[in-house]
Amino acid sequence: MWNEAGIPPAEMRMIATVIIVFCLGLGGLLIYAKIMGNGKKQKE
Amino acid sequence: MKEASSMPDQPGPELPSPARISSRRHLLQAMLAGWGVILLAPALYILERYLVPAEEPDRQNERIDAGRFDLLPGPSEPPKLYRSKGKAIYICRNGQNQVQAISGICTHLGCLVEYNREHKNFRCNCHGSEFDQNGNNLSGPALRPLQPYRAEVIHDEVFLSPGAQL
Amino acid sequence: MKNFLERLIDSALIRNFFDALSHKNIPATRKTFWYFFGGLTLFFCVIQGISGGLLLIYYSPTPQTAHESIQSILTTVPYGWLIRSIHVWSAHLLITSLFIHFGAGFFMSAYRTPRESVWISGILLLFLILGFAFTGSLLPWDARAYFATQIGTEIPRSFPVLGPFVVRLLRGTSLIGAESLKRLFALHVTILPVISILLILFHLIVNHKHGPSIADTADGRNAKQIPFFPEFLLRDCIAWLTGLGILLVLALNLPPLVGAKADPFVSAPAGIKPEWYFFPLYITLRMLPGAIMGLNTETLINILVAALGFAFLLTPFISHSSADRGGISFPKIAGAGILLYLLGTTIIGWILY
Repeated sequence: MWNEAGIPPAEMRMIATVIIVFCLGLGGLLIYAKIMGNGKKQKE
Repeated sequence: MKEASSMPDQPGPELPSPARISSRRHLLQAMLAGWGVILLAPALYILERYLVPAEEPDRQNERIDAGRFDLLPGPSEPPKLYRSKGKAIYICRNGQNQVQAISGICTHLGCLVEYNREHKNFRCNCHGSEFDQNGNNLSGPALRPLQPYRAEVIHDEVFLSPGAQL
Repeated sequence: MKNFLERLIDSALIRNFFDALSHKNIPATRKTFWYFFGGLTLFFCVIQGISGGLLLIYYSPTPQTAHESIQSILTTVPYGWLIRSIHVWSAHLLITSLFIHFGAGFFMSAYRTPRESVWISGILLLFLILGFAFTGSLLPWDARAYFATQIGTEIPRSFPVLGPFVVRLLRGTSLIGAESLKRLFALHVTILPVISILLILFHLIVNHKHGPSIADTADGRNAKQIPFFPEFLLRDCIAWLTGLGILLVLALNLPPLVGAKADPFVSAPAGIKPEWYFFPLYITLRMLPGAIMGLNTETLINILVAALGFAFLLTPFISHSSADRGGISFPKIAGAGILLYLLGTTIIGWILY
């Protein structure tokens, strides 16, 4: 898998970046949904 | 709180029932928690790989070059201590001109034992374990004897490997 | 089991803590966006602490082994390159976020009464974090680090009276060497962190007690109030996730390497320059002649920088806070001018060098 002796090749790192950003974005969306949910709750 | 609707007669789809809101919120909490765990897993993996050193190759059965045979001390002298690569071995020539080699690492908790000239045995200063000239336990908390080493003399050079002398 | 947890939680006053947090409100105005940069700076500080601690396990602070230990981290230690990359990039992002936070506080007059101590502790933290950056940059012991530290510790020499003393204190010897590495390392990993953590706690607690600064405008006074916990904190989390995303994009794709090992007997390499956050000083020194009106330029710059540092430290008292409604005033314009100069010289340095 990853070559740990030294820095892995650029393509691998770029793929990892995309996956990580996607996952972080998902989390952001979830938190955003929670904020919106809380906002609605305040209106009740 | 109802919002104004263009058809005041109809209830209109405003807020869902409280039960559905709460279960939706629970779902959201669960998804957030799950997401957190999923993100944490690779981070912990990387941390483990970074922090925990790789297993060292098994050097147990390596042959050790302990130097020249004629430089070894005789039976009346204290044994010479060979130290290298995590090993500490006491070596000498016995009365029959054979090589005797024994590990100096105490089998209790790993201190380097001392050779006692008066009693001709090995004593560990850390917790008082004592071993005879062949490494057998005499007293003290150590349960196992000192590891013996087998010697081969090739062209005047002494080579040691773990194990009893044949 | 539940009783056990309840008792622990009660004795640790955890409920009181979250209660206090939920009773403080943040105004929701168009300017609230700028309120996130404090928390973002704190986020990067935490990242630095963790990644720094991890690097500390493998780093060795002597001239004979420093460079080699970094090489080892980059080549032998699994994911060492990543931890180091995160540490370096997080430093850049920390300083960027810090200056935005500082600028936002300045221009929105967050230093007004009764928040003087929030401001002062903040400015002190600004100096400390620049100190972190300076001490940390020596540790790889490559040519650039060596000469940057040689220069950086030489500059205070021309400060009146105290100069030579400061130089000897920082270096430990007359020229950068093993002693310098040891004490700058000690600063970087223990002395500065301890002082900073205490200051940060003070900064956060006092700021929390006073509540966030609100502009004395209609917009500010009529703003909807968001409780800090959990509402604003959730938004903070999004800011942190964004910061983390940017950090990881940079750290994964642009991992920093290390230059050749420092050799004091070789001349400074061509094109050598300091880190970008010291460009203002660098560009200024390059632009100005050695002497101005018969006075040593370095001495003048030293005095000027010290004076500016004091001025920013004492902004709440200079700015006549009671009358300051956050509008245009001379201190504001002067401050804006200085910050513009800092930004401009940084950009010039970036483009030219």
